[in-house]
Amino acid sequence: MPICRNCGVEVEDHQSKCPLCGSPVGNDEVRETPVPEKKQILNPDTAVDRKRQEKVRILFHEIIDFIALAGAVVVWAVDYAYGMAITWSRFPLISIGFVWLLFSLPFWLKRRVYLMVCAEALNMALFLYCMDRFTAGDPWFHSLALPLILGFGAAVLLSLGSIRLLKLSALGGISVSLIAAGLWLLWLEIIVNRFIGEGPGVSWSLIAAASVVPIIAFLFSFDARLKRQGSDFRKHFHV
Amino acid sequence: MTKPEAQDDWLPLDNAAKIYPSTASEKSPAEFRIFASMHQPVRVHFLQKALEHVLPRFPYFQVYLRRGFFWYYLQRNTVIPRIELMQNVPVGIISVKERTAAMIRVSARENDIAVDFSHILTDGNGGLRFFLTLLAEYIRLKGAEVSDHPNLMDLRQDPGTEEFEDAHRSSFFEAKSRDPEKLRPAYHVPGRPFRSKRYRLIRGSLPVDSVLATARKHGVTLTEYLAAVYMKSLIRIYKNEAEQGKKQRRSIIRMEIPVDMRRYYASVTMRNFSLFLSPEIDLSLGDYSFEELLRNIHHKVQLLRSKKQLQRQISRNVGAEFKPYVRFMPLFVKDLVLSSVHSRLGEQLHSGVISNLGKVDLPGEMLPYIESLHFVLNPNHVMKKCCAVLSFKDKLQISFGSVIEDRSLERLFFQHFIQEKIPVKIKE
Repeated sequence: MPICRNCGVEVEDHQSKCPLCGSPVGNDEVRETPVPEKKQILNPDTAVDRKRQEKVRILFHEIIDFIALAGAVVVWAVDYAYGMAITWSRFPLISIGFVWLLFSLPFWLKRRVYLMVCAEALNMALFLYCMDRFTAGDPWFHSLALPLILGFGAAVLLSLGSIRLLKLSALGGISVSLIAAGLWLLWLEIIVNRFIGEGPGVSWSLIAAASVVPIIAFLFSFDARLKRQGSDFRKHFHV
Repeated sequence: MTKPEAQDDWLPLDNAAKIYPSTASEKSPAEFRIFASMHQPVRVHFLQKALEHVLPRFPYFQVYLRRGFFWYYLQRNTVIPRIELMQNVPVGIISVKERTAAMIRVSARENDIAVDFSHILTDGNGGLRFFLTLLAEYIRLKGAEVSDHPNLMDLRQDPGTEEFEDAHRSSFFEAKSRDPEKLRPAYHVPGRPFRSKRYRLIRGSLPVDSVLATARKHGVTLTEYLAAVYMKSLIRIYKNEAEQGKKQRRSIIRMEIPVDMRRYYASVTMRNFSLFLSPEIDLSLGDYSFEELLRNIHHKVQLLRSKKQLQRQISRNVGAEFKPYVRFMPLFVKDLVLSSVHSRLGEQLHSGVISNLGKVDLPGEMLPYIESLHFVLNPNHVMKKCCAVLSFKDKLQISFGSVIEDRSLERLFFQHFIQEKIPVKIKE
């Protein structure tokens, strides 16, 4: 069996050139220049520093606490110092409390998503109730704010629950969220119409909800297509 | 991996592989080579035939790397690469730009057969299985009867869906425990990396029985013993620098020791399924005798390789991949983020790496054809050197890759065995 004088490998009898380096076999002419190396490489592992993220989160929360507390004390002191009573400072104090809870609840309930949605809805309801209570004029909380907040909370819970229970893909999740948004708009117009004394009919919200339908249909059909034949699509967009 | 995915024309990257394409660079390779020195010159025609028979049995290796919108993926194909002329050290094999670049390379020169693997495809264990199966088929084609063996894949069987599996995901559960302890950056040997060549390889061959007996005499495993010798050599270099008046910023010497997770989980995946242990010492606490190093490494390795500790690594790695903001981050952003994370947290943490593929068993019919087996890791420009080990027949084959000219580490490492009266045969 002939041996390539350049590579040193055995070559088949019928081959006149080495399949590796192209040198003629059985000839003294040997390729002197080495085969050029192709360039390219890759590289290894990593670790995501979750501990550091946790520290940053705690620091962020402490800054929120400090700003809220400092703001509340200053507002209260200014109000109290001038009239020895709490008057106008009720509104900024309530607002500070609302914003503080708005940022703190996700921090406390970060792994309990459903509970967090309910708690945020309650926070909003409490804030608006206080605003209604301390402002002059006709009450609007029970007839307007509360149903809207409940409707919004229900829409968010519906979306989250559907995504989780049905294990929806990203496109499915967006579709369900759009459905929930459309339903909430209908609910919004019904409640607002009732509050201002008009009939329970719907107009603009129906147009808004209807305009969402083709988008949802497109997303669902695209999602179904991905699942059905979609290797080509899935490989480009898999998450 | 579900059954339909195994039948798709593409594969998602496994959890361990996800970072590699983004962090790709000449300075930080993620490739390894396994090669065999045969007793006779390689017959290229048979090797090509063997590859044609073997590669379709490993469809997860018959792929190209492609960019998706959110993640890279592996595009399956039916192309059998040509056998190439073997270079002295592995050359880069992955090209994201080249859309049809194979991710394994089979090469030969004189009596040597080598396969270079990208870590995007598999780890050392998966690579070894492919290599041994290729070698067995080559020897069959040369006329020998090779009997079945657990280390060889049966070419008559179709690949099972379990072989495609991302075992990190399958063994993942959401741990409430904290992440693995955060590590401080470690000491690295000094030196400026080569510009003219990729790296230099120095190989040492030692009688495995003698090294094993020495390790057992100290009550440690072979890998722990080799890691202690590596660490001892690093300490010597560290001290030399200190004696020359160089002020050291880092006092931690930490080894990276890969662990095959198939030992802990009943997985037959052929893709990546390994983690690493990180035993360390702190030189700011004082000097260490060799016996102290052995005890330190032995106890830390025993502690770190418990299934629960390893589970923490899996939970962190897979948990990070599941985060919605990571999943939906466009790939070009991921490339930037992962490169930064990798250079800050990945490469700086270890002073050296020692990867031991263990003892390689083969059917008796193959042994007369094979003189030796070797395992080579590509070093990166931060650690600068790395060590890969396997034992075959009665020899322990140790290879050091280095991107710097200085050979002190290799010299100190192999001198230790000479002092122990163990003969060492060196080849460059």
